[in-house]
Amino acid sequence: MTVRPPRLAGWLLSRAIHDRRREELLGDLEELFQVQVNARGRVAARRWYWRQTADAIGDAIRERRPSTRRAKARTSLRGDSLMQTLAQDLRYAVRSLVANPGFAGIAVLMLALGIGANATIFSWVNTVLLNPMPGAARTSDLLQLTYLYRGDVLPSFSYPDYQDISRAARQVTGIAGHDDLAVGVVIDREAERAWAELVTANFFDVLGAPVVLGRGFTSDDDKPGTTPAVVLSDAYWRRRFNADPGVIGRTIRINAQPITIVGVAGAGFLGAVSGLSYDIWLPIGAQPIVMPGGSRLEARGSRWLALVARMAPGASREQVRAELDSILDQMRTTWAGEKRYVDHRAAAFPLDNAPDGGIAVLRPVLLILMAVAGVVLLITCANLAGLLLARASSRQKEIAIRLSMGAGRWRIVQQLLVEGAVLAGLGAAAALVALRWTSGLLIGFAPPSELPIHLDVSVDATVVWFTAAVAIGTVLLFALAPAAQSAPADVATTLRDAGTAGRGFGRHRLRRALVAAQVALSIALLVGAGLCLRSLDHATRMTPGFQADGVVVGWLDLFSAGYTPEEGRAFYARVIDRVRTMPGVESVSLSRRIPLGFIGGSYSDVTVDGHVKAEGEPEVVGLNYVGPDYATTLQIPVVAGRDLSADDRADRPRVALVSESMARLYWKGRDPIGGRFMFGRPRKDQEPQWMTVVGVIKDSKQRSLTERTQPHALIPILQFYASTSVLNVRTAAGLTTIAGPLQQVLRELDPRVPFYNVSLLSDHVKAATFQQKLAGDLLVVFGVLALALAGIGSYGVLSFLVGLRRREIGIRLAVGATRADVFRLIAGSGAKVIGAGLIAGLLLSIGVGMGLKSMLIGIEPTDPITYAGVIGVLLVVAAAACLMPARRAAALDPAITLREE
Amino acid sequence: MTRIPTPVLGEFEQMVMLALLRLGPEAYGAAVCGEIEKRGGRGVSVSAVHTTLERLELKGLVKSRVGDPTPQRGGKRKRHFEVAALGLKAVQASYRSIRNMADGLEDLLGEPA
Repeated sequence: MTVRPPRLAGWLLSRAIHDRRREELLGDLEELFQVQVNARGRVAARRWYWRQTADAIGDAIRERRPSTRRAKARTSLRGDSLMQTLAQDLRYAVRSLVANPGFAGIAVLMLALGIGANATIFSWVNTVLLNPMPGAARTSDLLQLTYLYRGDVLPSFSYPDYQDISRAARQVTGIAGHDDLAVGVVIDREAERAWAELVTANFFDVLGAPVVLGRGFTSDDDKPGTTPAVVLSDAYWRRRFNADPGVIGRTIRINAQPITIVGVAGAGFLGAVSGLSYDIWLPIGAQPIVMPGGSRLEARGSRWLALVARMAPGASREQVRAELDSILDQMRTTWAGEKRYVDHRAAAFPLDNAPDGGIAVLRPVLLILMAVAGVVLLITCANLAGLLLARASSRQKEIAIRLSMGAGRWRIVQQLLVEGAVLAGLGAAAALVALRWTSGLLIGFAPPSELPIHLDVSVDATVVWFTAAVAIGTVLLFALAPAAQSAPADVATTLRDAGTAGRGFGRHRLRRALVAAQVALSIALLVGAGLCLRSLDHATRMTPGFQADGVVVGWLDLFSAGYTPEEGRAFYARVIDRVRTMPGVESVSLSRRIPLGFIGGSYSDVTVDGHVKAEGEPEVVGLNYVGPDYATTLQIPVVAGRDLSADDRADRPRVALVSESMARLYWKGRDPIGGRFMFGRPRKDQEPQWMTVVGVIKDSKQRSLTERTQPHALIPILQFYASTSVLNVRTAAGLTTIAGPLQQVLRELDPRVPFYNVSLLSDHVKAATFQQKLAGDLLVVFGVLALALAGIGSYGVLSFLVGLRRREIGIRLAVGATRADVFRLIAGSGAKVIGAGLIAGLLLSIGVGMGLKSMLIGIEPTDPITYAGVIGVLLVVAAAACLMPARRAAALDPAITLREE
Repeated sequence: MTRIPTPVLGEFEQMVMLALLRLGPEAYGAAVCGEIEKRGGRGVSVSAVHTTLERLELKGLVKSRVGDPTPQRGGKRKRHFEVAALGLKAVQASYRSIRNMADGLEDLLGEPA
């Protein structure tokens, strides 16, 4: 088989060569290429071909631009224009880098890593924080409004609150309310789940999100009892209706209600919650019919709406907040009789710093990572500056010659800067190529959730500009210092001494400082990484009080299927009976929600029979509605009494399980089994609805792994009912084995009931350690990168210094120093630099630990094991970096080194 | 009658011309390259050989004609070069001057006298 010449080279050639001799030159090259292949092999032949290509292209360029060559020859005597010298420098830089492919390769690789890390994290910041609400107009003018209650953020408002506030507010052009809701949608008899946002009529106007097809909502849609309308998201419209413009006016069923499609929102608009993407928007007037639990539109005590306001032109966030506070004062006065809004204040957050949701989770991690990526880039710069300094030293003679021939100092500096710019440009280009892949990594960290998480990181112009800016900054950082240093003050001395000088140890203070800085920064990063990993490790080994492994969960929505509570309870009982008999199922239960999921729990105040509330006692206990055998299924130990059973039905006496801490709190010294409690306060006009405690279970974590133990109670879902719930199945079979049959069984029981998001409970529980995982994983990558760079940097600097001191070492050895002395001398000077870096790094680390404090689980920011581990790793790397040059120095032969001059 | 002055050849031009003389009327770019590599003991840039041949033709020192394509050239045609009369003179002049300059230096240059 004949080997073909490299195609790219051939293509370049055919573009570059003049028509007149293209054919014969290409033919000759091809013929000779075959000769090369036969004589020297394929690889060498390809290399030969490329060299020939470069020559030919060079010739072609020279041939085409004879006039510029002559012009340059003329002007060079008068001093060149900037563009000309830049072009010269560029050529010179490329040539000198090609001549040192090892150096160039390492430098570009380091820059690609450093710049790439920054570009990647920035692409995430750009998506999450700089574009918190894609598709909406001027998001910097949007604010999330919340209450502050004794320092805690309460993000929800009641509908009457919303009406009062938006009527009175003057510093805003509008306030929109929204809340999310999973619904069942039936289109052409086909049922599916969709995520809806219930919104006020002005929603699209306030956010500045266009409705491109049909219309948005009008104030008529807000009125309860009107025929409900729905606006589809662009993505949903395309997915479910094939982008059919004729959908306007069609009626679909949402949660069993007929609803008319009135509009389609603009592409790219996902909804009012950052990081989530909604399928449809429903007017708030539809709330009573699509949401379980009846109308919430009149109840002032029912807080469920999140509010977004658009600031009026000229208004500031502080003005909006102050006005809100004064509106709140009036509301407090109006409702003083009912003691509403006591201790409430108003708060207004910019969207990129929202107090809840995905942004609240991601923001601290992203800011930390951005800082970390910056640090990695600094280390890269320090390292490269070191490398360039070494090169500059070895080129001092060349530079001195050029200076003595009349080159200006700025000219030399410019040339070195251009060399740096070429390196950084290549690094940035590589980073941008890699970005296509790395920017998408964020979604991989997203925990499984029942929410429609949307983390589509796109690389837009902002990201590209940022990368370019980082590259330019990088050049200034790593190339300027060496460039300035390498324009020597005394040309004559340099010409005489360069390359042989034994002096100059002091002159290399900058290089040693750079190495110390790298060591310090990498220690800080490693400590950060260590703390996060130790937290993660701690968290995964921490028993949350239940056993998530082996439990498969799936969500059921009876409300959207139109069930009444009676029908629902009966359906739940059937589900449990049926699933229990499935092969591989050990036990099965239901719960209103899962512990440690992303969605918070519910709480209630309780009245306990025979207990008088003490001062400072928690006002509420946590609540979950669960099915029979819940404690068994999640393997929560029952310490007294029994688990809930299938007999705890609506027609039987109401019962409950309480946690150990709840039992201790309310039944101090008494037997909790048989004790009674109720929700809320007893009212005179109503018989108290007592529940009898039938079992005491061990405490378990409910909302976060770091929470203090909170008293909580489990009440039977078969007695109290919740229209959406989670099926919990303990099985030895894996998720993939059981998911299909489970779906099948549920379909057989009732095809109208959506059963979705079938997944492993253990994956959901991981959401509780999402921050630590994201931060830990990335910090480890960055930390190891930084340490490797610092190690290479230390090694490089020591080797270089040994090279400079060959003569001195030779003399020392000649006059009687032992090899051990020399070894100590070199290793010692390395140890000094690294020691200084170590101390600075440890100080820095304390700051890092404090910064991470809120994310740490089960360890202190000064965790001794982390510090010991990092110092240990550093010592190993430092030893490797110091010992090799020191041994080489000790092995020098004075007879040879002294003769070298 | 004015005599056309014999053109002076550069060093690389001499190599190319000598290669053409050795190869005879069927000489072409790749063959010239091969000859210079073999006898001259140095690698050459194919493009440089072509540029030189073109320059020599412009000066009237060589003549060229287009030949036939062959498969090992990827079906591309050759251009054959031949030394012209003026070219031969130029080579002779170059060689003469080199020989004259080297005369008596045989020991130093390691040549048999």
